[in-house]
Amino acid sequence: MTTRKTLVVARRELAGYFFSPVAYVIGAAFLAGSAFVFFFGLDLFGIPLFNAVLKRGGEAALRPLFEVMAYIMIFAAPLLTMRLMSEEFSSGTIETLITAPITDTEVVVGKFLGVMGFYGVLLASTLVFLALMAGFGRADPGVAVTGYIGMLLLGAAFLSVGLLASTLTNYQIVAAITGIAILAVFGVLMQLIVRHAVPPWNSVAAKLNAMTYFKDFSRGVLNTRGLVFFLSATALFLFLSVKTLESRRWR
Amino acid sequence: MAMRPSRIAPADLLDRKYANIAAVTSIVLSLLGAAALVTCMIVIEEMSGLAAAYLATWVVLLAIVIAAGAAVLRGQTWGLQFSLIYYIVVAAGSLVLAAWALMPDGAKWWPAQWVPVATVLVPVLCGAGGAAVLFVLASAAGSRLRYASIVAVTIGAAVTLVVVMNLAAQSELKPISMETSGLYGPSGRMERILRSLSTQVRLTCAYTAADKKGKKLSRKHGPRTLEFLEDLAARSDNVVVVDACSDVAKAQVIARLRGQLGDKATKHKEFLGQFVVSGGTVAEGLSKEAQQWESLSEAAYLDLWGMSIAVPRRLRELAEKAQKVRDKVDGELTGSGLPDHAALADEAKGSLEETQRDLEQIARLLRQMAEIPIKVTENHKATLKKTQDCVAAASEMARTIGTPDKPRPSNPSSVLGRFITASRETARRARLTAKALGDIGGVQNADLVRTSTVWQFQLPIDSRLVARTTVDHAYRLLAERISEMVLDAEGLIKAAKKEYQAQAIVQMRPQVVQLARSFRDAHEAAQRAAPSLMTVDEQTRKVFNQAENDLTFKALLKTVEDLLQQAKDLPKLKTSTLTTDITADNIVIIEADKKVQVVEFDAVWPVRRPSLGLAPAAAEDTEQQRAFNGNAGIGSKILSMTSKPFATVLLTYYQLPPQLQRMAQPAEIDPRELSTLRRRLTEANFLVKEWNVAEPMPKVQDDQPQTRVLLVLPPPSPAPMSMGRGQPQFGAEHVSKIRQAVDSGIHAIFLTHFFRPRRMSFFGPPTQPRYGLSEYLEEDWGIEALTGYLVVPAVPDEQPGKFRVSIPRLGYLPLNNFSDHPIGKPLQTQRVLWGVLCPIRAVDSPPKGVSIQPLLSVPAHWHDTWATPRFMALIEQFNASESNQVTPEYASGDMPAPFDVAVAAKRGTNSSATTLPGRTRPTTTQATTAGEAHQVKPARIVVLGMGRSLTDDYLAQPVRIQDLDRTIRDYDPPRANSDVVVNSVYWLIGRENYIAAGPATHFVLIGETVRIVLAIIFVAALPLAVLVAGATVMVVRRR
Repeated sequence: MTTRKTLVVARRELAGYFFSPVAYVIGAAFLAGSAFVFFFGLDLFGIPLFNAVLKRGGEAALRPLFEVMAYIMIFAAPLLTMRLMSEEFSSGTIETLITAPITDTEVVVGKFLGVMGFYGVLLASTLVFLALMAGFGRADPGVAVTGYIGMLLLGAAFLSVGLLASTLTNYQIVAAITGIAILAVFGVLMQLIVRHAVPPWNSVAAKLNAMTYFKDFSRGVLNTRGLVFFLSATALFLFLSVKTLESRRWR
Repeated sequence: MAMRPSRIAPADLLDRKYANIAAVTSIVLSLLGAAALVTCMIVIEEMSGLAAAYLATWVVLLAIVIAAGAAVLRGQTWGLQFSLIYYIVVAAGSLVLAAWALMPDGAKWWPAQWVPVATVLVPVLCGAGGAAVLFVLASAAGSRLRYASIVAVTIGAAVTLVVVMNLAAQSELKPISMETSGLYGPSGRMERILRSLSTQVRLTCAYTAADKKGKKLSRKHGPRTLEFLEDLAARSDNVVVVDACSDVAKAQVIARLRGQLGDKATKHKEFLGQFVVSGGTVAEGLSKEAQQWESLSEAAYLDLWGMSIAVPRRLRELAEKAQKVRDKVDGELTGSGLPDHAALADEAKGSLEETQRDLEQIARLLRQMAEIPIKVTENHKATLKKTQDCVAAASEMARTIGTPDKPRPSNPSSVLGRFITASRETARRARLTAKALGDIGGVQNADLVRTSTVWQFQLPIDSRLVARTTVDHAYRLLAERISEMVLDAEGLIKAAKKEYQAQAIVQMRPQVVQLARSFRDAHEAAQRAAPSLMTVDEQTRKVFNQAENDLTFKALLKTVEDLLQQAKDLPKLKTSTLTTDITADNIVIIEADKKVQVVEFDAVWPVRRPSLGLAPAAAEDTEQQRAFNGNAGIGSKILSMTSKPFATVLLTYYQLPPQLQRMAQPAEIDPRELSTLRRRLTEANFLVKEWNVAEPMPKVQDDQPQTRVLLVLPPPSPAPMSMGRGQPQFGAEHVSKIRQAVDSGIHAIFLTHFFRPRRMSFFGPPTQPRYGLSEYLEEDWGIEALTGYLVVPAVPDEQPGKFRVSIPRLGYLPLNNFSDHPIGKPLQTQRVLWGVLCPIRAVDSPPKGVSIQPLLSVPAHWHDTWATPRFMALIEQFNASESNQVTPEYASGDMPAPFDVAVAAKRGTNSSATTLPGRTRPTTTQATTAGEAHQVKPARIVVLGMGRSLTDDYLAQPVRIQDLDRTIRDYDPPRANSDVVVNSVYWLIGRENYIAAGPATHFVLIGETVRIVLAIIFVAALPLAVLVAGATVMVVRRR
């Protein structure tokens, strides 16, 4: 695998996002959703899921913002990645890619870096919330740093899952639904099992719950278990994506 | 991956040689495995149904694998595909389980009975791994099947590697907290508490998992509390965390605690068990006795006292109560809750004692009653003779005064004289008769006889008044009435004229006739009652026989006595609220050293703004704002359970006896105003006691911490001249007591603040009260408490160089300019608010050996804050101003910043006062004998000029603050204020390593309008801008 070829693919993908209407819609929705919770919080049938962050007299903490962004990513990541491979399959451009002097790994990693770049831009746009918190309360710099590190790691893992889903099908919408389903298992279902199951199943579920690891970052704690979880999950799903793409050669 | 099965493999898909080897190997391995499983199922007799089903599933699976192996032998590729996946999964699973078992945390997961199973993981891993490789080789080289096989193996290996890596990352490596506020993780003090643990502490988080009405809080609070506990466990091997947020898990915890608490109360359990058995017998026995009594319908004699109704009723009540308590004990012992053995034993004992007392009382009454007929038989004749004599005497008395139909007497004084003589005789006889009637049933039984129905008597006093009384008492009343008439008659003879005497006699005649009639009635009543009291019916006779032979309730009383004896021998159990506390929702249960305590929700999540009792009813449904206080709430419990209190803090004050307090000046700080500070000190593992310096210092018990720290409150100022003359006041002898305590090595914290001027006489102007300990602090420590200076917080005025002071802002100063002294350093980031501060100044040359360090200072660049001795002038300026703010002129005498408001001082062994040959200072020497040798030990003191800001008003109530927009709003109380005192005590006793600060909670300060504007921008405008940008790009690209 050469870095140059990978970066070429990444640049092409990143540029593709800025020319894609879907990416703008997702970006706007991500910002609007985060901002809504930041200012108003979120209730579901009267049950407070997230408390408003920028509320007079509220605790000046960024943690709720990071946590809500993590949940938004369950939906946003597959939507961002759904087109990465599915579009190539459906439009037939995959044949060009396969026959080009570029390995499957370079294709997958390049596309992953491209979507990560776009995700980075999205994440950077949320720094305005940090500025607001600094202005009207007191943002804990440690929590801010670890929170963004956590968001990057979680984003990488979620996007790699989305990428795998995209390599599995020719249809973007199927890829998005598949990705959301996989992420919902690791981000929501496991959370419910943690809350309602009895030991040891709740502990097992906690080990598989991506949000458990992310919570460490969102409260300012750098933990090897979180780092390993997200990095290994990213690597595994990228590996599976490569293998899935490879299988097209000999199937 | 190619998984499309084909019944017959094309010749190029399988390598026949390896396919046969792999198939045979697979069949052999499966047969071995199945044989081992079947053997296990036969050998292990007490296998649970679930385990048997699990093993049976494996046997079935192995049968399928054998079939798959046979298929491979027949050249079918589905067998290869199935077998390959099976062996990859088995190899990966056994590798993960083996790695898990090797992890330090993983060992805990293995139930003891599974350990032998764990040993087979290695052969299973080797066998499955080898079989998987053989099945890969079984596919023809270069075929799609070979590609698919290799991909399957590599994916299996990758997944296994990821799982093992994650397992390894789960344990051992400590997390790094980059948080600076301390909001989420353990505080420094908590870390030290954890480090000092030498015993295992089990923390069970039992927060309500599901939302219930009114319990919406637990949604976020539970996970965060559990997360905090897990952080504690990550930092100490001695901490074990149990997640019991579900009802099932909480029930399991309670069941375990039941066993644990039961072990500590074995005697109580034995007694209660016995009570459950015998208590039922007692209740039954009481019911039977009640039935027997109810059948005594013809026991007329007992009915004289209503016994055949009252006794069975009482027996039934006792039976019901005994049964109720027995059922309660039984329910608690066999139920799923946590029984309070001590309370249950007390309740059982109370019920038994009540039963015993009542049964014994009934038996005693019956014994007494049995004597009555005998005694009445003996006495009735003589007694009735006396009643008859009384009737005769009364008739004579009536005869002397004449009947109402007779004319006025011509010689009234003579008539009255005869009447007096006869009346005195009648009264004497009546008194004797009363005594005889009272004792008719025996002297001991007089009261009992009086309660019998036959002894009741309606005595007509005069024509209108009738008194319900007993026969004997009737005679007493009659005697008294006659005595009154005698007195009247004597008075008439002495003072009244003849006419008036005659008229009085005419008026007395009907009354005397009535009295004579009453004597007859009383005699008849006695005549009627005596036979009733003498005649005992057959049923009563039997009851009395039993009573006389001490057989009444004998068996029942024996059972009750035996149980009570057992109860008396019970060891004393510590009273605890655990059983009730544990029933609450949202609790953390701490177990350490066989002790169990519960941390309630409010201790971990205190309400940030305590209600002042004015909240509307609707507020009940809204979520209260709470702040996380786990470090203090949980840490203090762990500390108190695992170590003894570090020191005794003596709240030192001067207070007169209650009868003199009315005339005394009020204390600057009342000890009762410091309940929040006391609680904080107790949470910090100190024992808080009081010392009124008007009395001797309280002695410290052997089991209490010997290290003492004085927390000295400002003493009351001297009383006004006109009021306090001759009243005891705080003075030299009290100062001397404090000095002696400090000189003996007891450390001290002196709380002081600005003292508002007071009128010291009725007509004089307000003068500055004196701080009673200022001279001591200055002479012994070189510290001046400038209590006459008020630190004035102001804001810059529009006029350059001038500052505005407003009344709302006078009450608080957000000053956290703490020095790097160990007490103050952790508080540098804390939110503190002070009020009515006074400067504390170190003199230029403190006594030798004393070193003074500032703790908290108003910095030099705070030009808008100064200290003024002209408080009254400031008040006058406010009074003259139309608004609530003024711009005072700076005057000479005002103290500009910088100055200190809190200092700490140390006095070493080389102090100039180490051995003092008696003190000669004019104000403090009165209590010290001249020339008395005085040994001074090293000591530490802290002088705080913000004493008023440590009262409940400040620490537990919302603070009303004027914001920059001049709006007055309520803010959270500055809880960190109390940390100054807690940290000071830690420093004074040399436990600096426990000094810490609570979480630096910061709150959002934003106006609602600004917030709405920002929300519109960020929720709507910004995303819309992104969409517009996207649309623009699309349009441009299409062109």
